[in-house]
Amino acid sequence: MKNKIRVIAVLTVLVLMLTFSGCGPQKAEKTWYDFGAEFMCDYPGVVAENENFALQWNLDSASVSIIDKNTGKVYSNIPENAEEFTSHPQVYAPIYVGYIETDTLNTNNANAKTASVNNATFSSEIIENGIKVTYYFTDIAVSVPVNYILREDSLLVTVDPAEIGEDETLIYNISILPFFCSVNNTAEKKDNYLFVPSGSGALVYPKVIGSGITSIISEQVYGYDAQLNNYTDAYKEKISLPVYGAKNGESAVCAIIENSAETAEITTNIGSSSYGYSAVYSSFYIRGSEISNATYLSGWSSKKALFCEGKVEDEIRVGFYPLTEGKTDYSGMAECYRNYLVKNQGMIERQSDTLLNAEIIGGVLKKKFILGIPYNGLTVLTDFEDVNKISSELTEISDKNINLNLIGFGESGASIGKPAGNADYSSKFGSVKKLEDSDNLSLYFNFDLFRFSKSGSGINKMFGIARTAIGGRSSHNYQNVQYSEASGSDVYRYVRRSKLGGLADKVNKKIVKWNIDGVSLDTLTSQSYSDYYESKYYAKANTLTQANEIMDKFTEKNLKIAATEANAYAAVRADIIYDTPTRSSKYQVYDEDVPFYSMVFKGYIPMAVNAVNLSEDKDAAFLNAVETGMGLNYTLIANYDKDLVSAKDNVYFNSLYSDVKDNIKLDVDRYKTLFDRIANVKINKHYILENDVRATEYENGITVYVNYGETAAETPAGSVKAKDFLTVGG
Amino acid sequence: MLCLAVPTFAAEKNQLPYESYTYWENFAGTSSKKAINNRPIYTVDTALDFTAMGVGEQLKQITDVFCDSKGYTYILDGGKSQIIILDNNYLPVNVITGIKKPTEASAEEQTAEITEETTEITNEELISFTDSKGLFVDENGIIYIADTLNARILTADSEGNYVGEYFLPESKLIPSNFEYKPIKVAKDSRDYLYVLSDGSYYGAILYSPDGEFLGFYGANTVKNSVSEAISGFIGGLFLNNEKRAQLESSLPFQFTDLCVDKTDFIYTATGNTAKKQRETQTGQIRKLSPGGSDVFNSDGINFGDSPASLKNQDILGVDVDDGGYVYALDSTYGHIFVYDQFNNTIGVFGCGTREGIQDGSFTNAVAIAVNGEDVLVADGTLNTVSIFKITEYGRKLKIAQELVNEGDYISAKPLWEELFKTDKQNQLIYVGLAKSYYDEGDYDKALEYSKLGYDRDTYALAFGLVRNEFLSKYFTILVLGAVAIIVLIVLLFKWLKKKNIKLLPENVKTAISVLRHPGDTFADIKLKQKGSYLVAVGILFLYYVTSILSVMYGGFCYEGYDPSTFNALLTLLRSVGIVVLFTVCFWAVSTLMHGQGKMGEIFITVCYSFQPMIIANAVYLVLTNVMLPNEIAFLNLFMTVMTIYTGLLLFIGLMRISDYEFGKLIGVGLLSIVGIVIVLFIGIVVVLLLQLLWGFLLTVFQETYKIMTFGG
Repeated sequence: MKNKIRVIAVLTVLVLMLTFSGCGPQKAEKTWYDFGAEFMCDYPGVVAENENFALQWNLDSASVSIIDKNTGKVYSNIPENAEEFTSHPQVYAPIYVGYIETDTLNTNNANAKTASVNNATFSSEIIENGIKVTYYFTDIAVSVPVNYILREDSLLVTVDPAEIGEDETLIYNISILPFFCSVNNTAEKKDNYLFVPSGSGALVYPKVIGSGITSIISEQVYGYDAQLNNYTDAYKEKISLPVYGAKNGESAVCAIIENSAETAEITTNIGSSSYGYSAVYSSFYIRGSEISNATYLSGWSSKKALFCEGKVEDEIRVGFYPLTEGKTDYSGMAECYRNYLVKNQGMIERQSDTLLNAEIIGGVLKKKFILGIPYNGLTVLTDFEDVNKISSELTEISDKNINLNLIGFGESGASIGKPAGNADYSSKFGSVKKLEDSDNLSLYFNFDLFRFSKSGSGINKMFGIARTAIGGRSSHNYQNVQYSEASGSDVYRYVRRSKLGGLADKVNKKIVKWNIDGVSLDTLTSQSYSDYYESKYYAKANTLTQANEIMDKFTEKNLKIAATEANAYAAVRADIIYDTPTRSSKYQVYDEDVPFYSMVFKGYIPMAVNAVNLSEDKDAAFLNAVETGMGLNYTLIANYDKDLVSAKDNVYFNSLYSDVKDNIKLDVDRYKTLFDRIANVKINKHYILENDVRATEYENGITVYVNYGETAAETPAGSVKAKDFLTVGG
Repeated sequence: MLCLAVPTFAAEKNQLPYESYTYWENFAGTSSKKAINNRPIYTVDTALDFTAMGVGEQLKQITDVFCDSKGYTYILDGGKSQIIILDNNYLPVNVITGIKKPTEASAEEQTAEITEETTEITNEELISFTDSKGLFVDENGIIYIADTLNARILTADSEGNYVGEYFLPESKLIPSNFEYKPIKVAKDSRDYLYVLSDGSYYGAILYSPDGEFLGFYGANTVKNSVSEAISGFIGGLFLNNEKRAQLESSLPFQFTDLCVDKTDFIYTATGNTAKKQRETQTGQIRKLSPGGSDVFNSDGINFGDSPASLKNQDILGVDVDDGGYVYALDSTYGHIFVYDQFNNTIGVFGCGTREGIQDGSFTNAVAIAVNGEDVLVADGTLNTVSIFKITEYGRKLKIAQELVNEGDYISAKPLWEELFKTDKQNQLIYVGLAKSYYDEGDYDKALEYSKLGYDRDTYALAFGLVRNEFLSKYFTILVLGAVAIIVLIVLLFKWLKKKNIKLLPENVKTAISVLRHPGDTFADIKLKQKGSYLVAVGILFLYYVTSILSVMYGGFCYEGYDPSTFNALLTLLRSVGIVVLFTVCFWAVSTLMHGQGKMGEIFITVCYSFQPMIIANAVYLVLTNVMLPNEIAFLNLFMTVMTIYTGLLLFIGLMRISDYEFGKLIGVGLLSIVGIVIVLFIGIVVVLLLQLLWGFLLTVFQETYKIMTFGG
C-alpha cells in the first residue's frame, strides 16, 4: 500500500511538472488591427490650442508640432529646415520601434517614417486637447497608438503599452519623437547644444564625427537593471533624473519623462553626417530582457538578448516644455524641471543645508579562522564610542550640527550578508542603549534593502530572490579589480521585490525603537531592478511607486530619509542626499559637465558631495561642493584593519579618521563663511566661463566664481587663484 | 582576509571612468602578486581629437605618437600620410602632409628606389608615407618615419623637408627571404638607429651613425620546457618528413615597440608572449644594454596583469621617462602599467577592453609616449590621443620610490609618511616605511611595516637584529634557564623511576618505539595486539593539528598560506581522509591478495607511521619562528628525510602486518592506489549526481510555489 502511495505521489509530481513546465512569464494579450480598414487621416491644421500654444497636425509627416502663439516659434520632431540638410527617414520619423525577429529572435529596428508614414498606413483621431495617431508597421504587423496632447505649458506624448497591437512579431521598445530635441551638426557651438542628464549632467555641442567614435550613446534612466550582471571595466555615472533637452540659439526645449521613467533609456545620437543633426531622445522598454551567453563546444561563444514575453503595464508619458525667452539654456531647463518636481512630485524646501556630513563605516565581514576552519566574522572598524567621539570633534570643527550616516552597523557590517544586515544593530559596536541615547546626534542608520547573500530578516535564499527575464534567479558575482570579469565563487542576490515592503517594516520598527533621526536607504534610493516574478515589476517597472510606498512607511513615523546618489523619485523625498553626482559618464563625445543635478535641488533638498577624502583630486572635490553650495562629505573609519587592503570597495585607503581630521578642519574653515551665505538658497543661473572657470549665480544675488585650473583666471569679478573661488554680490 | 571582493557601497566612490590599482608582490604570504585598488597616480585630462589637433577633418588612422625632448608631440596619422605637431601645451604647430623633396634629386638619384605615389608641386615632389607605422624625432628635430609599405625609414625636418632615407641593406647577415616592413624606429644619443621590422624575430635592425647596417640587435629568445622538448623529440622520432615539416617551429616573438632612455639603454615591448591561452605571459618588457643583453632579466617576470585574470593581454607599446620609470601599454585591455627600474609596479590605470568611448578608455590603443610627467596614449580607431596627468600622489610616490631605489631611505621617509596618510593600500609605501625605519634603527617598526607590506627581505634583516639583540641581552639567563630545565627533567625522570611511576602508558610507549624499532614493534602490534586505536587516532589528530599550525603560524619569512583560499577542512580531507581511504583500499586489495592484515591493524600501522611528520611539523613551526631562512638551510633536507622516514615506517609496518614480501607489497600498494582513484572517481560522480538532483528538486519546488502564489 505504501509503495502504491509513493508511486502515485511521484506520478503526481511529474504530472504537475509537465503541466506547469510551459508556464513562463505572463503571456501578452495579442491584439491586431484589421488590415482592410480605411486609414482615417482627415484632421489637417490646428487640432488644439490654448493661451500659449497651438497644436498643429501635419498630415505629410503624420506628426505634430506646437506653435508658440507669442513668439511664433515652432517646435516639432522634424528639425527646422531639415530638408536642406538631410532626407534621412530617421530624422523625420515620429517614433521608432525595436522588435524581435520571429525567426531568428534577433533584434531589429523600424522607424515610422519608412514603415508607416511613407506608406500612408497611419490613422488619426481627435481626442481632448489633442490627437491620437496610430502608426501601422505593416511589414512587421505592429500598430502603435500615440496620443499628442497640448497642455498649458507643454506637449504631452503618451503611449499605452496595452494598446499596442502585435501579431507574430513582438516589439521590445519604443522611441518617442527622436528629433524633437536636436541641434544641427554645423550650428555654432555654445549657443546650440544638447543636454544629457548623465550623472550631474553634460552638454554636447554640435559636431560632425567620423567613423571611429561611437556616436550613439544610450544610458538607462535610474541606472542599469541592477539584478543583471553588467560587468564593465569602465565606470559610468547613471542617469538619475529623467529629463533632457536641447538649445537651439534663442529657443530651447526641455523634455521630462513623466511616467515609466524606470523603463526608459535616454539616447544621444551625436554628429552623424547622414542625419545632419544630433539629437537626444527617450526610448522605453516594453519588454524586459536578459543577455544570454551561449558557449559552444568549439569554445566559440555568442551573446543574445532573450526577452520576456509579457509587456510592461505602465503608460509612457513624455512632456516637451518649450522654454521662454531668457531661460533658453541648461539653467532654464533646471528651473523647468525643478518647477515640475514642485508641482507634480511634491518637492518642498527642506531648509536644512548642512556644511559638514560624514559617512561612518561600522565594520565589515572578515574571514576568520578557528583551528584553520574559516568563518565570516564581523570586524569592527568604528564602534559607537568612536562615533560619539568623531561626532563631537566634527561638531566642534564646523561649529554647527552635522549629519552622520552610519553604514555597516548591522550584523553584516558594510558587507553584503543577511538582508538589511538582519535589520538590526550589532552589539559588537557597543550597547544598543548608547545608540538609543544618542538624541543629540543627527544620525541616519543605513540599510541595504536590496542585496543579500544569506537568508535572514524573513527573506530566504529559496523564495526570496528576484527572477531574471528568462526565469532564473538573480545572481551576482563580484568583479575583478583589473577588468570586467567575474571574480570568485561568492555570489549575492537581489531581494524579491514583493518582499521589500515586509523587510522595510522590520527596519522601520527597529529605527523607531532606537529613537534616532532617520534612516539611510542607499540602494533603495539609487538603484532599480526588475523582478520577473510578477508582471508589475518587469523591466524595472513600478520602481517609483514601490520606493515611494517604502519611504512612506518611514516618513509616517516622522523619520528622516538620507538618500545616496538619489534617483529623482527618492531625491524629492530625501532630507539629505549623499554622494551627489558631480560629473557625467565622461564620454569622449560629451563636451562639458554641468552641475544640473545640484542646480535642480539646491534650495530644496540638502546635498553633500562625494567623499572629499576619497576623491582623486581633493581640491576638485572641494570646489565641486563650493560651485553649487553643497555640503562637504567625508567617509570615515576609526580603526584600520590590515585586511582592508584587499577589500573590493575602494573606500578604505584614506578613510582613517585620524589621518583626515586636519584636512576636514582646513576645508571647513575655508568654506564656512560662503556656505552660511548660500545655505538653502536656490540657484538662478550657472555659467561655463573660459579656462576651467565656472560661475554660479544665486537667488540672493551672490555669485561664486570657481577656478578648477592650475593657474589664476580672470573673471568679470576679478582674478581667481588657481584651485580657488571668489564670491561677489549678495 | 576580507571576504568581500564585494561592492558594498551603492554609490561608486571612484570619480574616474577607470580602475586605478597596483600589484602587491608575495601577497598574504603567497608567491603570487595580487591586484589591489589604490589612489590614482594618473588622471585623464583630455582626449585630443582632430579639432583639438588643428586638423580640418577627421584623421584616418593614428599609428604612433612621439614626444621629443622639448615637449613637442608628434602624431603620426599613417592612414592619411600626415604628421601633426603640437607644442608643449598640446596646441597645434604644424601638419606635415607629405615629405617635400626637390624634384632634381628625385629624378636623378632616387628614381629606382621610390615606388610610392608622388605628387609634383612646382620644383619639388611630395612623398607620401601612407600606412606608415612608427615615428621618432631626434634631438635635432629630424623626424624618422617607419614607412612600412615602402620598406624604408624616411627622414625629414620639422617643416617636412626631405632629409634622407634608410633602406634594407645588403648583407649576408640578412636572410634572403627577409621582408623589410619597418614598424618602429628609435635612435640613441650616439646616433645609432634601431628599426623594428614587422614579422622579424631577429630583433631590431641596427644602423651605424653613418647609415651602415651593423647587424640584428637583442632578439627575444625561445625557451622550451622539458615537456615540450620531450614531446618534440618523440614527435621527431615517429613522424615522417612531411609531417615533421608541418610541425610549427618554436620561433621567438617579435618586438612590438622600442624606446631609448637617456643612458642609451633600449627598452623593448613584446606583445602576447603566451604560447597557449591563459598561460602566464612573461618577459614582455626588456631593458637591453648596448651589447644586447637583458638587464631586467625579464624571463620569468610577468609584466602586465596577473596571469589568473587575463587571457589576451598584448603589450604593444613602451616608453621610459627621465626618472627611469617604464610605461607599458596593454592594447587589449587598455591598461597602462608603470614600473620602476627594479620592476616594482608603481601603478596601473586606463581601461577600454576594445570598447572604450569614455575619457581614459580606448577602443584600439596603439601607441604610448611620455611627455615630461604626462602620459599620452594614441587610439587608432577613435583617432584620439588621450593625455593623462600625474596626480600629486603619483608625483610624490615616484619621487619617494626613486629615493628608495637610490638607497636613500631616510630622505624618503617624510614622503612615505605623508603618502601613508593618504593611501593605506600601496605596498611600496609599507616597504618604503619599513626600509626607512630599518635604516633609522627602529627595528620594531621595521618589523611591523615589513610584515604589513609582505617584505620578507627587510623583515629578515630587522628580525635578525632584534633577535641578536635579544640574545645578547638575555644570553646568560637563557643558558642558565636551559641548563635548569635539563637538570629538572633529569631529576624528574630519576624521581619517577625511584617511585616507579610510569609517565607514559604502555600503548603510547609502543607507538613511540615504532620510531626506533619499527620491525619489532609492528611485529608486536600484529602478534601481541599491542596497537591502540586511541593512540592511532591521537597521532592522526596530532599530525593534522601540527600540519595546520605549521602552515598558519610558520615564520613570516617563509612562504605562508593564502587566507582567501585556505581551509583546514581540506587539510583534514588530505590527511585523515587519505589515511582512511588508503586503509580501506589496502585492506580490500590485501584481502584478495592473501594478506594477513586486518583493517584495524592496517589503520594503526598507517597512523603510527606518521610520527616523523609530526616531529617535522613541530620542528618547522619552532625553527621558522626563531631562525632566518639563510640560517636553516638544512630545514628542507630535514623535512625530506622525515618524509622518507615516514614512507619507510609505513612500508616496514605494512610488510609485517600483511606478511608480504617486498615485491608483493609493492604490487598491492600500487593496486591500492588504483583503488583510491576508483573510489574518488565514484565519489565525485555521486556528489555531482546529488547536486543535479538537488537542483532539480529545488526548481520543481520553486516553480510549484510560484504557480501556486502568482498563477501560471
